[in-house]
Amino acid sequence: MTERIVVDPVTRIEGHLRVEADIDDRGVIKDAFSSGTAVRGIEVIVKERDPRDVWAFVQRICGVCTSTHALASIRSVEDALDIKIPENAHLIRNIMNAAVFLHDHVVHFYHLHALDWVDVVSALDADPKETSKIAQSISDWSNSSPGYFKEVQNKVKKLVDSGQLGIFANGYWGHEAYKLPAEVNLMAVAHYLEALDWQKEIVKVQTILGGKNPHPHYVVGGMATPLDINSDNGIHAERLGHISQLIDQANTFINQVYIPDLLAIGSYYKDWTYGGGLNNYLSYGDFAPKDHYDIDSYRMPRGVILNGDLSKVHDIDLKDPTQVQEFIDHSWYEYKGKTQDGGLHPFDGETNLHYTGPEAPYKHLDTDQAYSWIKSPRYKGQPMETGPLARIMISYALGRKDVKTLVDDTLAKLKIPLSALQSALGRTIARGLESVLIAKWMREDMDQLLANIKNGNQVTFNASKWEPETWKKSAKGVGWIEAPRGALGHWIVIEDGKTKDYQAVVPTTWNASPRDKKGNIGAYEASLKGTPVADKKQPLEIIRIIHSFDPCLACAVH
Amino acid sequence: MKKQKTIYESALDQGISRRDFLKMCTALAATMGLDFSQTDNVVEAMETKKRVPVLWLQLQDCTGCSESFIRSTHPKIESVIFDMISLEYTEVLSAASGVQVESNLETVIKKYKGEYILAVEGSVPDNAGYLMVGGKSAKDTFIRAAENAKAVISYGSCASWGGIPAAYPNPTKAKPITKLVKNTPVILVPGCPPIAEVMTGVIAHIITFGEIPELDVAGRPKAFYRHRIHDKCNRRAYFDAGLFVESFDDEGAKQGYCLYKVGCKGPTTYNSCAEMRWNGGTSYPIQSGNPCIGCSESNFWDNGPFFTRRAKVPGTQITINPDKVGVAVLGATAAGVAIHGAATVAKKKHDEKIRGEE
Amino acid sequence: MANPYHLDESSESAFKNEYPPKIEKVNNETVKIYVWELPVRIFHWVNAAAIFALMITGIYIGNPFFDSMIQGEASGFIMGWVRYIHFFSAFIFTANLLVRLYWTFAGNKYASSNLFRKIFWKDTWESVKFYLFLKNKKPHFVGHNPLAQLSYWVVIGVGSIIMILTGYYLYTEPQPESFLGKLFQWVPVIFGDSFDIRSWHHLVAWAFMAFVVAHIYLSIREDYLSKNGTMSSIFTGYKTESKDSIEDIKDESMPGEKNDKYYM
Ligand code: HEM
Ligand code: HEM
Ligand code: NFV
Ligand code: SF4
Ligand code: SF4
Ligand code: F3S
Ligand SMILES: [Mg+2]
Repeated sequence: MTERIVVDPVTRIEGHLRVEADIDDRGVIKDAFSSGTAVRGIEVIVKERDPRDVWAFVQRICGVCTSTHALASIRSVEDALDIKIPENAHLIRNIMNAAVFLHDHVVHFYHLHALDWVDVVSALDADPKETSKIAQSISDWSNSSPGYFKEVQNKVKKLVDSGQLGIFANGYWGHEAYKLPAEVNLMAVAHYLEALDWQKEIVKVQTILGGKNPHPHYVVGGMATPLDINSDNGIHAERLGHISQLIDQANTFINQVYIPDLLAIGSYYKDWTYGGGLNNYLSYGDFAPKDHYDIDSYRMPRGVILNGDLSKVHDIDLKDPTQVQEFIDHSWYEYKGKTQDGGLHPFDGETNLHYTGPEAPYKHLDTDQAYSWIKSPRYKGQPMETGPLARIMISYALGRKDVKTLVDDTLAKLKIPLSALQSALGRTIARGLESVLIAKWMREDMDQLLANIKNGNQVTFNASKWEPETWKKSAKGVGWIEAPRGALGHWIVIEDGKTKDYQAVVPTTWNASPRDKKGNIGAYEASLKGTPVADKKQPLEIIRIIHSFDPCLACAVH
Repeated sequence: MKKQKTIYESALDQGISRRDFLKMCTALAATMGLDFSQTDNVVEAMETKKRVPVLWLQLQDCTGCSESFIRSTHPKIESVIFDMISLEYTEVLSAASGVQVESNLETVIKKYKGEYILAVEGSVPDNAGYLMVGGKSAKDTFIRAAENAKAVISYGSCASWGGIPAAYPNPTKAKPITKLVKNTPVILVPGCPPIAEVMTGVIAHIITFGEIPELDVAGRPKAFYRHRIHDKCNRRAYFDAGLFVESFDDEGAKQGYCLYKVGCKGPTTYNSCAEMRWNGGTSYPIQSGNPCIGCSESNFWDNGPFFTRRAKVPGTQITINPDKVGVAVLGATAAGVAIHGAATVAKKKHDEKIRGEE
Repeated sequence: MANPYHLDESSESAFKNEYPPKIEKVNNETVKIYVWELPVRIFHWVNAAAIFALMITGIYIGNPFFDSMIQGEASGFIMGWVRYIHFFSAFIFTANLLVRLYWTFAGNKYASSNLFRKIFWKDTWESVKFYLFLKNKKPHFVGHNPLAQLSYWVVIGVGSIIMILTGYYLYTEPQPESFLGKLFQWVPVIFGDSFDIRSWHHLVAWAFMAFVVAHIYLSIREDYLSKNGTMSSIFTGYKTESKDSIEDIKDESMPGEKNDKYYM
């Protein structure tokens, strides 16, 4: 006998996600279903639009990984029209993308995920002196005095005493799956608040270079933000200095706060090895030092790993109609008037909304039928996990030195094997480790930008193909990017200067996809299987695993 | 504003005795994982002070508005959510999920009827199937939450005007939330997203002055939406001087000329970007060389293209190049005149000839 | 001949209390009629001048076509001046229209017209047939033919109202709290948001352009066909008409008096 339990809404994520899980008598998850319950139809909305405008529309797919869709979009248009952008523009885009990554990963760790491992209320019982000792033993971060932690504890106390817990109201406090000592909980709460403060700083990189955040501005052909160190309007020494400072602060915060916290918390949970899942990993790769089309130069490499076999990294061709395809057998769409069909490559993709789910209010979805607004993308028919863990595994398998050193070090510190990374905790660790690298690349790209400027190169835009008269009558292109949550591709078909077709296949679409016709389940569903749930009324284990993917449902469905 | 009732007072209002109230506090302390000795603190707190409860509903959104909100520098977001308001329900930050978080929502609607503030992000689709939360129609939840709220803050262009989901061809028949609120005051805070400090500024206004800010005809707080970007733009002098950026990264762009000719919608956009700037006053799109796309205006998605100046065909979601169309109309008129003129002359000659022959 | 006491039967006139136009005899066949009184002529040319100025400056405002790559400091003021001229012309345009509105009531019968009568639309239809060459002779009108009247109503009447409402709204956008600003605050209710209002303003501007082309053509054509001095009339005020064609005028204008009087 299994019992179906429901978590809806899954909070501390982006968007509207519902999880249903079948739990057997022993309290173990036998099967799980992930459903995106909201849709907007943005792929339909961009049709007939000027391809140079589309970035702004698709950027609104998501305000959390804001700007990743904009970047994927302008890359798709530049690919279709064969536009080469100046190196400076490429570097600026890298720097902006890195800012999103770091913001996203830190906010995910502290504000979205931490409360699955950290019991806020337990922090009240901590001895601030002990906390201070722990903090000082793991990091040089300056905010670590007993007085400081006492102050944070008082804040928590004031909040709890007020009887209005606000965002902490009704959490699973006291749940047996929480393992941290009170002192570590207090440290984590302190850093929850510090990260809240820090996250609003790092995005200023985007504000300086793109005008605002969330949703900075982009242009096809480069960047509109002019570099001119001798103009009061250009990006000059003061602005460059500001960016540099933010990058350095980010490096410090990540190395002195995020990573030590991650390892400290991780060390208490390393025996909780659930949440691995598919062991199929996908990355399109990104962060080329100079030219996005020089794929071999990617610092975040491209590749596919199947069935956890690290000895072979497969190649990907985003334009090959047989590789990336989207299926809709369990999704609320129609292809050519039919609710079930073979997969479509995004160049031939369709987005026809067709809701066949239950009427509101409902208790359960009919998971034998269509049960989600998320499509099911597959690589050569296989479901894939994408995101930090996939990237780290692929880099590791390819023998990338920076990643190998970092991973091996971490495994040694935690005294766990490589295979332990294939878990919820592993995903969370991978996210932290790649943050270290990205912060470093961000510094490198900034230095390169400064060097270019020093050498007199201040070009940021290529105007040669701005006017639609210069375009081919019909063109197709794909823009790919590694987004915080994984491999993102946008496919555009341009005809007569207009967007004829547009398809986005998004990281969370891969990870949260429902099963396909053959019954292959997606990464979320796979990762939940086999996990014991201590209290069906408080399924902390489910949200912990789901959160390890950093779900973004607005992304997944769009 | 009338003095905020404490939780205890509202409990009494609802006919709950002090004994029951104490029981409730004990239960609350228990759910919060506190030992019973702390119950007294809870009781005291609830009897004496209270932060305004806020429910934050996300409808058809991208969470960009929530993200912007947490970027607030002054007031700092920490002090907004821990000192000013009590954010009881938010899909982004709430610790609780599923039934637990849904029960927070229900509790606030019941217990703080007419006292809580409802913040909303995102538009509402026609069909419940396009947007369900907790297995319920999010539209119904919204209507119920709005009916019982003291005020609704409509954050962002999606909630305020329909926003991107409602852009042509509006696949889900999305509507702004205003279409569904009847008797509760709504404060529109448009923008895609709105500026962080504008978002928290509206809350700070309500908390500090105990009333909702003065609104303009469209329902936006005058403090933040009284003027157009164009009225306060740092490039305005170049507009008046007739000096324009012709192409990105040209000399004019480096000099900071006006972005009007690359499509800037600042002249038709009401927002505080030029005044307050973004992310703690760091910059705003125009300062960073990008034309404004008018992201706080109704229908701005259908007022494109973004990099050209166009005119809207009244009553549609379509824009045209007015001068191209104008010249065409003029050309057609001139051609008609030429043909008609020739025909007139020919006919007159013909008529005269006939008359002459008579 | 129609009942001379029923003004309704001529689409040229609207109000009962108009005074008749002056008519001078030229010879036995023809008379000179004082159709456009001085205020009408002044209105006409001030209006034309204002519209030309508004159009040229307006088009520049909409699309600043001078090559702005002429290097310069922001101390130049091209757009500023163009806008000044636009606004200056706009005030003249508005004041002029108000005077004309007054003259619609104060002036002679040719100074007004009334769309709310059957005969107007009948005459309009007859005129349309004529312009489509479906008819050899159009009903003759000493003032404007009803089609011309209609175009004046639509473009100069409604068109000007749209331009003024949208124009003043745009003009007061920086000062929504000023007197003028408050006066025009309701404009969005009819015309939509700021972007829509600008769009209306720009599109209707082109309607004016099209009107001017057609209007000038039709004036020349009328002159050519009727040889009645239509063209010069807008300068001098007089049109030359055959004696017969003014039968209705004298009947309408001076009921009961002897026709001969007018031929003196
Ligand atoms: C026949 C009369 C008029 C014509 C042909 C005309 C034409 C135009 C045109 C083509 C534009 C550019 C619109 C755009 O941005 O695309 C414009 C702008 C404008 N017009 Fe007029 N206009 C007329 C009357 C008026 C009147 C009566 C006013 C009242 C004050 C006015 C005030 C304005 C204003 C304020 C602007 C915007 C200027 C700016 O934002 O810099 N216009 N006009
Ligand atoms: C912006 C340009 C112009 C506008 C808006 C305009 C408008 C008008 C209006 C409103 C009337 C009716 C007079 C009244 O009842 O007050 C009129 C009559 C007239 N206009 Fe113009 N006008 C323009 C330019 C011209 C030009 C350039 C000419 C000649 C070269 C011209 C020739 C005439 C003539 C001959 C009449 C009398 C027509 C008739 O018998 O119906 N107009 N015009
Ligand atoms: N999934 C996803 Fe995104 C990311 N990262 C986008 O491509 O979050 Ni909103
Ligand atoms: S208004 Fe913009 S930022 Fe806010 S939810 Fe809508 S699309 Fe996202
Ligand atoms: S950049 Fe835009 S808002 Fe600024 S002056 Fe120019 S047109 Fe106006
Ligand atoms: S695009 Fe939006 S952010 Fe401001 S400058 Fe324009 S309103
Ligand atoms: Mg898609």
